[in-house]
Amino acid sequence: MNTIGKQVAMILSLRSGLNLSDIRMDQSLRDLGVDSLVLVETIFELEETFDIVVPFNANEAENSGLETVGSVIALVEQLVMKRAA
Amino acid sequence: MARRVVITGAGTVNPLGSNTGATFDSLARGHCAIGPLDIPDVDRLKIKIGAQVRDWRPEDHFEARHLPLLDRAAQFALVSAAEALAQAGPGIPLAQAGCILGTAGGGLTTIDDNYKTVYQAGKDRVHPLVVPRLMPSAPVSQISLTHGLQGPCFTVSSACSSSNHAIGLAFQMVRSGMAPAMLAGGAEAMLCFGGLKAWEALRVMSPDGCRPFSADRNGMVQGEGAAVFVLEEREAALARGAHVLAEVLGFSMTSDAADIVLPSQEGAERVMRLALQDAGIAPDAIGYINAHGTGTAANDRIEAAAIRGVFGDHGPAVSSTKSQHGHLIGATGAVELLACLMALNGQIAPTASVQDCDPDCALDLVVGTARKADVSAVLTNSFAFGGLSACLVLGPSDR
Repeated sequence: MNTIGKQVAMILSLRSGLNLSDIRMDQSLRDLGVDSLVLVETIFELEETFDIVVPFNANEAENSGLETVGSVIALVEQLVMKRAA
Repeated sequence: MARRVVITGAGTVNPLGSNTGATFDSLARGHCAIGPLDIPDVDRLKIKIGAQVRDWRPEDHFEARHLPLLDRAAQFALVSAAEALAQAGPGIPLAQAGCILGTAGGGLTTIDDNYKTVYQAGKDRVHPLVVPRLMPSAPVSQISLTHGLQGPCFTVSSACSSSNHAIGLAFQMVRSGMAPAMLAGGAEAMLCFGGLKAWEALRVMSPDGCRPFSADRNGMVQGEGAAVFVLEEREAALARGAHVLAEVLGFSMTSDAADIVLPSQEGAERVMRLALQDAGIAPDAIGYINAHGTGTAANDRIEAAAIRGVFGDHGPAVSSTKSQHGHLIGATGAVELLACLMALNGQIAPTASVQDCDPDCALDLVVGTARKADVSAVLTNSFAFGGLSACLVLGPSDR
């Protein structure tokens, strides 16, 4: 896992209350116990940490690209690259 | 013995109109008052739409020397109360009457403006009347001062259910004999930069419109305004020759004790059933439900399921007028009560902006234009954050 991946996993670990070692790339956020409120808190923390803007509307959550740990990391990487470009 | 309680006056300032007549006209046309926000720093907001009271000129309603004390919410409340009392007519025992209003944000615009003054502009001084202007109870106190109300006067705050709680408590006070008459409703004016920043952070706001129960709904849209009603004991109202607009039949209030933001289907069913029970009527007596219908994915799905749970698959006509006037948060139930009065007069206000109803929200949804209907009783729902719910049941004037 690269640096961004590790930081995202750390945030998810803190938000979900699970050990970092228990966080796997293919896990869904739902399986981590991330409910709708924790999700918006997590997104806020990702935005603050990486200085990015995550496009997310809770009413369209199923199409947000935030389903699994791996997809969250991929989205953050993409947004960090976009910011740097 | 419990007294019967009637509504004899109504007044409002809201995005659909600055009085009840204009509001009824707009409601009947299915007019949508949602549009681009015209507020300072809107370019820094992600959500740039809202239902504003446009072209509001406080100086048309108040003397300049009074305005420093009046937040926008208090201005809306005072104008609404004056219209309601004028309609109710003379002879109300005002010295024994009271006023209960709901609000969620209180004087949030005043708070926002003055934080900007001290933190952003770096000034070390604010206007001396900031506190009596921003306090959430200010609109009630201003109404009490203006009209000489010396009975129970206070503000309730239960987020989106504030107005229904206010009107319900006023109803109970008149019904129990604690007060001969009450003014009740709600006032809200938090379409300011700070207020909207907080709301957009929750990620539940729509960037493009309020479409309750629609397949393509994507969130709520905030509004502002006030509505105030005169509630009084029926016999006294008839004795003084008042024109009765409707009878308040029942009220219920519950808490889900389940989630700080999500509504509960079980809780929504329970509070609707309790309102019907308090009114002493069966579900099939209800001809119209003004839904909470925020336009969020979660509320509308759960509310529709709860309505079907109480009223069956062939329940009454339903609309959410938030599609027209936006979500007035603490004042929303009060403005929505106007749609209930309209329904009792034979015309159901439509849900605007809906093209395709969500199959997961199967209801007899009134869309597009108003529907003519012979309605003998109506239910209005408010389901607030924190699981605080309040429902009112109204019947016609000549029941």
